[in-house]
Amino acid sequence: MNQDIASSAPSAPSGVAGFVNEVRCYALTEWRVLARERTAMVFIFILPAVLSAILGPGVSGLDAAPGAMGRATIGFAVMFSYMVVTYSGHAFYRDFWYHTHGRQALIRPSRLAFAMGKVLPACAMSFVQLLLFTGFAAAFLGLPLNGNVLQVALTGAALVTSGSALGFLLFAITRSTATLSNLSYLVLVTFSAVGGAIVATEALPGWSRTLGYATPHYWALRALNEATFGPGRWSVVLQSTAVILTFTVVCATAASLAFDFRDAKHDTT
Amino acid sequence: MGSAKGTALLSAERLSFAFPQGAPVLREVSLHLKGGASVGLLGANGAGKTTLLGAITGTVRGTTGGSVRLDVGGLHARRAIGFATQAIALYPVLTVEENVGHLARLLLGRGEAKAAIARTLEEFALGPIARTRVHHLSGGQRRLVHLAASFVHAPPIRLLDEPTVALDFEARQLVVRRVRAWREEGAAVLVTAHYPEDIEELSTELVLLRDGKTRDLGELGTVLSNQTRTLSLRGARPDASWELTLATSSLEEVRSKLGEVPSDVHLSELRLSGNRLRDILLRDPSLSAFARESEGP
Repeated sequence: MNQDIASSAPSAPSGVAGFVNEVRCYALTEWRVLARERTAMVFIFILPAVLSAILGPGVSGLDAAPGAMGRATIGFAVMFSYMVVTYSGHAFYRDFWYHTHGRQALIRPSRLAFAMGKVLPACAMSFVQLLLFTGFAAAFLGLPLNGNVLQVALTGAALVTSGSALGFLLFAITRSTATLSNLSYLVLVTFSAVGGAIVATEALPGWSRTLGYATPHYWALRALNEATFGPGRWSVVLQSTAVILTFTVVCATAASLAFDFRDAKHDTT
Repeated sequence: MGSAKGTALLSAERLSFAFPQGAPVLREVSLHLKGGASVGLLGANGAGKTTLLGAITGTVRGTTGGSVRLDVGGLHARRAIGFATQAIALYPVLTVEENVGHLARLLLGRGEAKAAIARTLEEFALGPIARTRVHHLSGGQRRLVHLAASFVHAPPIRLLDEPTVALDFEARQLVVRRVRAWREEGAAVLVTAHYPEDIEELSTELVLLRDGKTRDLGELGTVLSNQTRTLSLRGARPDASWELTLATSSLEEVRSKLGEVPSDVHLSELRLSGNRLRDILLRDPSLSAFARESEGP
């Protein structure tokens, strides 16, 4: 063999350092793309703010309740934080839009590192949005905070992680961006509706409430309500986040099984 | 960089491939890429050249058979192989440097990436546009960035699928120089191209892919030396043109061959009778004629 050229080629990091390097590389590139394309900023930050301002507590049927505006704001924040499903899915589809998927198939990074790096920026944006909106509601809209910020942060992290895992799953099982987008908007609206993010759970019909138990939104709002209006019990917050994380693990496992770096996607516009 | 050339760095043996629910595209193909050599892969459109590259790199999904073996001192395939696909694979909103840097950091780690990025940008003359976003570049510039990104990790095995598409003369010459430099450094190169002229400039050996099978044609020089030279006389009238086949193109042979042209349009008469002869062209052996014959029905 040609020792010179092979031995002169520097080695890539391996082990934990290699894993961290892969996550960082994909995350940095995704962050740059998201920041420059800007549509994610509009959907994740601006849309919930506008809807909260226009619709306020009226749509949730809570307008007479104390802190209702703050509660409605959190609802919209939870709802639009699930745009992370769309943007996580797009992060994977991006390689097909720009023909870079062949490179991933050749490089074969760790699946976990690849998936984490791809979804991390969208996750971080949604997480920051939840914290910002909750903070704003607590500071200016009369939302009480009987629990603590850590409970809000834990719930937010669990929720956006579940959305990313669902985005990964939708990417793995769909063939086109259009299908992924349609499904993710369907998820956004139905999960928010039955999970109590738009109209408070107590105002929903019984069957809707029953369906709501299957959504991460219900459990996220349960934990957030506990941290804000409720007495801030950790048991309720941890139980809720555990349910959300179970949903995450199921989605991520299914996605990982369905995903293949060599997959071809059609109609990638 | 010195090199021990001539040993196969990549050996594909009896490689077969069919897309899911599709007919076989490759049938027991064998191919050897040697250090310091550049194999030009000839084949008509749809012959399976791109699929062969995909099957070698394991980047396409389907039913495969046979084996691909690397002899690159234990390097992982991702480090050993660089593959410039036919489609330009770049993130348009990122700059040239960011696109190249993404792959450099991914494949080499942060420590080695900086020097690799600088070297690659220089090799492909991309310094002046390093901070330009890719969507602002021309098709030819994008092609160069794509090539630069594909080989930023200096892999010993380099696969290029149609690397000259959309390139102007200067950029094409740059690619030719790069491929020659890689060969001199000891890399093994496999290249496909639309035009035989490109293959001729980029390759030292030829392989023909036809009906899902490869035929090793040997060294480019040998293939060309087996081709004939032609002397073309083109008159002003359409019926006053002749194409003469030459074995050596010596002056004696040219004179002798000119004797085959009817005497009433002899070269000297044509000159004397006022610009009736439009041009005389001596064509060296080229791959174009060979490719036409080889890829024909």
